[in-house]
Formats: sequence, C-alpha cells, structure tokens
Amino acid sequence: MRKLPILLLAALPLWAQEIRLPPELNRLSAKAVETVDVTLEGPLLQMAAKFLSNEKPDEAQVKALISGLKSIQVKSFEFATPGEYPESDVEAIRSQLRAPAWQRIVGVVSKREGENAEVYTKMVNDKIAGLVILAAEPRELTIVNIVGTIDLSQLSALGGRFGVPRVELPRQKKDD
Amino acid sequence: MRARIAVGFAALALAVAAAPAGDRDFDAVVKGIESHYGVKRTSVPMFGMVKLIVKVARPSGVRQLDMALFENVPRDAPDADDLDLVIERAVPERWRPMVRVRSRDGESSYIYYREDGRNIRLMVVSFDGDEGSAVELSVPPDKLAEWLRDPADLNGRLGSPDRAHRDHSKEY
Repeated sequence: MRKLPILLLAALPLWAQEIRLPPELNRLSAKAVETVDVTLEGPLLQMAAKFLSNEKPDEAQVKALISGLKSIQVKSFEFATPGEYPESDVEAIRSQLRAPAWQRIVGVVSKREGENAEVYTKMVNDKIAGLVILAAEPRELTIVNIVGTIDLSQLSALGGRFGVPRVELPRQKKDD
Repeated sequence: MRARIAVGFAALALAVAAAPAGDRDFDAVVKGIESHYGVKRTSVPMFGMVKLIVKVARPSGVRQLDMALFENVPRDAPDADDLDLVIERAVPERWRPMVRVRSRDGESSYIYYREDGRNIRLMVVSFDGDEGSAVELSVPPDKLAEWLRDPADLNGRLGSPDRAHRDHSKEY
C-alpha cells in the first residue's frame, strides 16, 4: 500500500507528457476563414510507409522517419485579419510543454516578419518520443503534434508532407 | 476438388458479405444526412454506368465508388450548423477520421477511412452552401500513400475540387 503513492508519482511524469489541445481551439473555427484538421494514426502511417520507395532518397528518408511514428495530428487555422486568435490559446498548449519531459529546441526562426515557430521535443530514455510544432503568424496558427520515435536529422524530410510545415532546425542547438 | 470448390464458395460468401457491409456504411451516412436535414439524395444520371466503368477501368486506382448528392440542404436552419456532430453521428464507428476542412464561406469536407482487406476505403462528405455530397471509394494503399503526401490536398481531390488551398509546405 505504501508503494502506491510512489507508483503514482512515478506515473505522473508519463501522464504529464501527453499534450491536450485545449477545447477553446475548436471555437477558433468560427472565427477562422479556414480550419484544417489532419489526423494520421499509426496504422495508416505504417501502411503509407510500405509504399514509399527505398530507391528515391527523399522517400526513403520519409519512410525511415514515419516507420517509428504513432500519430501525426495537424490543426491549422487561417484568419481574415491579424490578431483574431488569443495568445492565451497558444499559451494553453505551451504551458503543457515544460521541462523536464519537454525541451524547446527552436525558439523563433523567422524568415519573414511575423512568422514565428517553436519546436518542442519530448525525451524518453534519451530518445525523442514526441514533437510539437507551434507556428503562429498574425493570420495563421498551426499546431503539429507528432507522437513516436523521431530522428531529428530526418525531420526536415517530413516538412511539406502530411500537412507538416517545413521547419528549419538549428544543428546541435538548444535554445531555451 | 471438393476443397477447391469449398474454398471458392467461402471466398464468394466473403465477397458477398463484405460488399453489403460497405454499402450499409454508405447508406448509414446518406440516411444520417437525409434525416438530419430533411432532404433526399438526388439521382445522378448515368451513375450506374460510371460505377461499372470504375469497376473495370479503375481510374486513378479507384476500385469501387458510391456517390450521393444533396440539394437545397437547409444549412441555416436551427440546429443545423453543427455539421461536425451530424457527420460524427452518421459515419459508423469503425471509420477513422483523417481530414476535416471547414471554411467560413460554407464549405466543409470530412474524410474518414477504414482498412478493407488489401484496400483502403475512404468516405468523403462535402458541403458547399446548400449542396452536399457523400462519396465512398475503395483505393489501393499505394495510391492512398501517394495522396497522403498532402492530406489537405486530398480533400481537394476528393471533396471540393474547386477550392484553393493554401500552401501547407510553407517554410519557417
């Protein structure tokens, strides 16, 4: 019986690692000009992986990357005018992505004015087991939640596929 | 010889059993939309021939096709705006959601999928203003893998062909 609190404490970090998209986000659909939700679950990804070519380098890279994934969820909103989504909605997600489970590996990499992106990774046994991308622009908000084992060096291959935006990752840089 | 005949009958029985299951799911979606909005599907001229052509020629790898069109859908009627809930209720549980696109100008598309032996079945429900459509199709996995490169574009291919999508390959 004494072991129960210890077991619960041990389980807490695991529970804390799962991110939940706040329900308030769904309300943004009413304001958004367009809302896109993409949910690709493990079996579908594994099925897609089987049909990517090993011969073509770009497809082989994607194949290697998605073979370890359990799911990809992309939620994207486009607004007519800037500032239509509250920062609190982004903060509600950001607040779940805390150390030690989560690490922010990219703060803001902006190639054009006002385009900000944050990339967070979840570490389990020294391996990346999850990745969240928050891309917030004045008229667009995109949240990507990838669950599964990820090789960061191959992540760029995923950009532009499966609804995932391209994100430039710094080499061996941890920005937090 | 008897074993071959038995296997043949078993395969035939499975094929016969599987086909109505797919049809039943499609019918459930159509009935769900019809009962919620109080509309009836409109007949598609020559659709029987289209189905036959699809079965034989398999354009873009599509092996089976069902389609229902709806007109004069009262989307502004009370309790009719929560399309998400209507579709969620209408699509049988064994289908998994894959893509949902909603726009403020009245266009909405939903794509569900389920595995069906060697193929993947897709259920695509789209609404544009007071018009709607439900399409069920069976595609080989390699074709779906190709389409999955851009799931939002998949909606454009199967749901609302006229809609212009923003660039999802944007670089940050």
